Amino acid sequence: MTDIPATNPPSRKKRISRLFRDLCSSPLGAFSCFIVLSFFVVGIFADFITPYDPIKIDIRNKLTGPTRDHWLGTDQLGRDVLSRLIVGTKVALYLAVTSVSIALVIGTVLGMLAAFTNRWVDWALLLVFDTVRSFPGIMFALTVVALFGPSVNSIVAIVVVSTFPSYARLVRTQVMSLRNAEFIEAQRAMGASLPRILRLHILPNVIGPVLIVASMDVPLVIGVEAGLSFLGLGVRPPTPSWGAILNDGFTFIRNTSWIVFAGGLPLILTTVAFTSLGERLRDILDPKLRK
Amino acid sequence: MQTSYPVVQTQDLSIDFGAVRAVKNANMVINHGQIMGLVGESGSGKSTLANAIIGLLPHAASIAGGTLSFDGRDLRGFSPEQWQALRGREVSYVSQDPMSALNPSLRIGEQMVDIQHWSKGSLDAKLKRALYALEQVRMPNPDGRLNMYPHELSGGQKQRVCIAMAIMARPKLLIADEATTALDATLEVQIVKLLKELQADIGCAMLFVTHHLTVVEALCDEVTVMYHGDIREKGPVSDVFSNPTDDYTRSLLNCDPARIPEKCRRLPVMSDPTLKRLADPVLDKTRIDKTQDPILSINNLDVTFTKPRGMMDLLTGRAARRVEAVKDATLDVATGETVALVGESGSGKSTLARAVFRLVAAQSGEIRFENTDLLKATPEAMRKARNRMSMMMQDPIGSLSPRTTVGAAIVEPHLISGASPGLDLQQEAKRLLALVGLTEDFAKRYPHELSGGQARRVGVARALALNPRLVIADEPTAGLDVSIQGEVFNLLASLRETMQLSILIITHNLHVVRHLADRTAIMYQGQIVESGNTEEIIRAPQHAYTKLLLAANLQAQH
Repeated sequence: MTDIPATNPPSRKKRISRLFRDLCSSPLGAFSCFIVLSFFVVGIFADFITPYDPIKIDIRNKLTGPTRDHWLGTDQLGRDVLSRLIVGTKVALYLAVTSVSIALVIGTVLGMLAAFTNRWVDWALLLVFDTVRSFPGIMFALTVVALFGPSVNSIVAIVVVSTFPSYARLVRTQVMSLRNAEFIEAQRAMGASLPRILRLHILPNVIGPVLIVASMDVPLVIGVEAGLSFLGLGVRPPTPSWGAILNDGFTFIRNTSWIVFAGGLPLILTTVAFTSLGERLRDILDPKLRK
Repeated sequence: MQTSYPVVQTQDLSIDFGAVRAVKNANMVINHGQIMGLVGESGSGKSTLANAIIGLLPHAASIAGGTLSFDGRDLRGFSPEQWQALRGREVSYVSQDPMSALNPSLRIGEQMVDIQHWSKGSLDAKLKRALYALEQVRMPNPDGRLNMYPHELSGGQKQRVCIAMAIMARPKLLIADEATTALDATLEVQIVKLLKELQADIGCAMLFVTHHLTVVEALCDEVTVMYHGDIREKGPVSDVFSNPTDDYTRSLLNCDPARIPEKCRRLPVMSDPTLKRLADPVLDKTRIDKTQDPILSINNLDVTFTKPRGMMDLLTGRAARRVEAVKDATLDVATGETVALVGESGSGKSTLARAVFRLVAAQSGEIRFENTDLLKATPEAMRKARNRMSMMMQDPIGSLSPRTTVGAAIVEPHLISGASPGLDLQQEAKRLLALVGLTEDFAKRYPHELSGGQARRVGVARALALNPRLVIADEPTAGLDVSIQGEVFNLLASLRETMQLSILIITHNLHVVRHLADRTAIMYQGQIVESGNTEEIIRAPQHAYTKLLLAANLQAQH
């Protein structure tokens, strides 16, 4: 046990480049990295790379299937499916990033609060978490849409409220098991303040599983948007979104099945990529699992 | 004694762990009716060898060569079914930690019946056999135990249940891997006595794996000493212990503080087995400054834990349940003095230490540190006091934050106290590592990359970062190999000589304390039952519990 090699000095630049190397060290990891990166790149630069105007109607060329001009064909109004998908990525990216990060932050903070303050606060917060979780998701979504109208921000609100309790629960349980760990006691004996302990010694030890849940929630969010758009309650037409494209595809599936494939594939790819990336990330962030 | 035949026989057995050879050409014979002790430090390959006999090698390990036979059958190439038929019937196993070896959600009786899946008997017969086994392990009041859950039993009782489960099938071989290590000294003696009696009763062979030499001497007939995968020495216990032929065995015996009757200032260590400095009474006198007020003075301290009342308790108006962890404790530590607080687990000794740092709230009494009453101190005064005293937690690795490198961990006291702004933290980390005898590149390591002894040194470095006047050390040598115990001991001893450090050691191990502590206080069920000069307490114990503890601890002293 005496000749364990020391790990590299943790300079920031090196750490980030090593993180990427570790992430891409397996074929699935490299594939997931590629998909997630392209998801971000396409989402951010969507407006610049669309070959056609995604909402321009060209009724003569409707439901063509793939052609040289329209690689993924056109929909029932003759709009270019590829362009609509690309702009739909922007909507999906915005939704995923905002709603997951807001839910993650709220959930983590409340979870740590519940675990580290007195038990009355804990009970009160648990009551809130469980009440929210017990609410049927679809009903809640329909209520919000009915009250505030269908929009991207309504979807963000729906997702945040319905997912933050699971982060909070997860963080709370993890912190509970760490709270009486010896290294936390040692910190308290040295007189470390609560924010310091939470930030430096609790958070890094609980964030791993939270990131995995978050990475698995990203596709969930996109799915919720797709579902609501499918029901006509999501993003307002004619703004393209993956769900809206799927919806159109289903309606005209007898004419051409291309639209369903084109709309479904990105959904499946991002789901797989984010999930596997989340698991890789957990292994890499834990110094014990790092090779 | 009937004719003895070999139960286990290995010839030139080698076991590989990936690229590392964990066991090299091991030759070992365990005869019927014999208790074999397998001794070595952590990483010596002793557990690997024991696991090979019961077919529980991890996937990464494989038998690279040699033979391994049990009761005349070749164990290499056994199919999973054959192993299953062997394990629990002909070979059984008692593990180190009785707390986690039992299923917490099944009653003792259910577990003991369940493990008899080899028997086709009725449930009644199985229950009867379980009861008989509990009687055999001298379980007090065995009838009632079958209906209990593991958490209702004490640690020693749980280990008795584990042993009872192991002997129910009348195995030919019982393997006990560090079966007494997790237990208090008084319990350890009881379990050793029990194993010896059981062996005489059922006549099986026994393989006792341990790093604890005293236990081997008390229990075993034969001993095998392992080091780095090699078997260094084997033979009858009396021969090996009185006249070791191998250098490693000799230094291992030399380094055991239990085998050094006279009080020492430095203990021999594996790297220098000849090192041994006797205690220097003059130095010990000048080290302690009795003219000043004691640096730490605990008077009539009470700590009571109140179990929080649930919703039903509040509605029915039931009073909260209380547990008195520390009752009316009075203890002084003079400047430069080393005081040991000795007691078994659950005696309240750790609670007392934690009360000093206000990690638990004390109900009444007084804790004076450098003439400030810590129980009434303002946050500001408490902060100042924390800069002048520090605590070393029990678990060397567990008390270090897993995501913090050693270099960052040891300078943390500076960052927390804010007492030394503008300090070059990298220089400071180097200074502290040098102080505890670690090289600079340890600064980049994470806690899980350290051995127990190295982690303990890091703990000492962190405790000394702010040049404290008082260090409270909770079991500073527990769970460490004999040789590393000596190193940590010598480190503390030299630091107190150069820094005029006052030390309060909390432990259940009298061997180390005997050499280190000027005074000793014995704690039993929350009360300090006896305190005074260490030598006097060991020579003439007054309280019944002290006598029991000494009898348990010092049995190696012939």
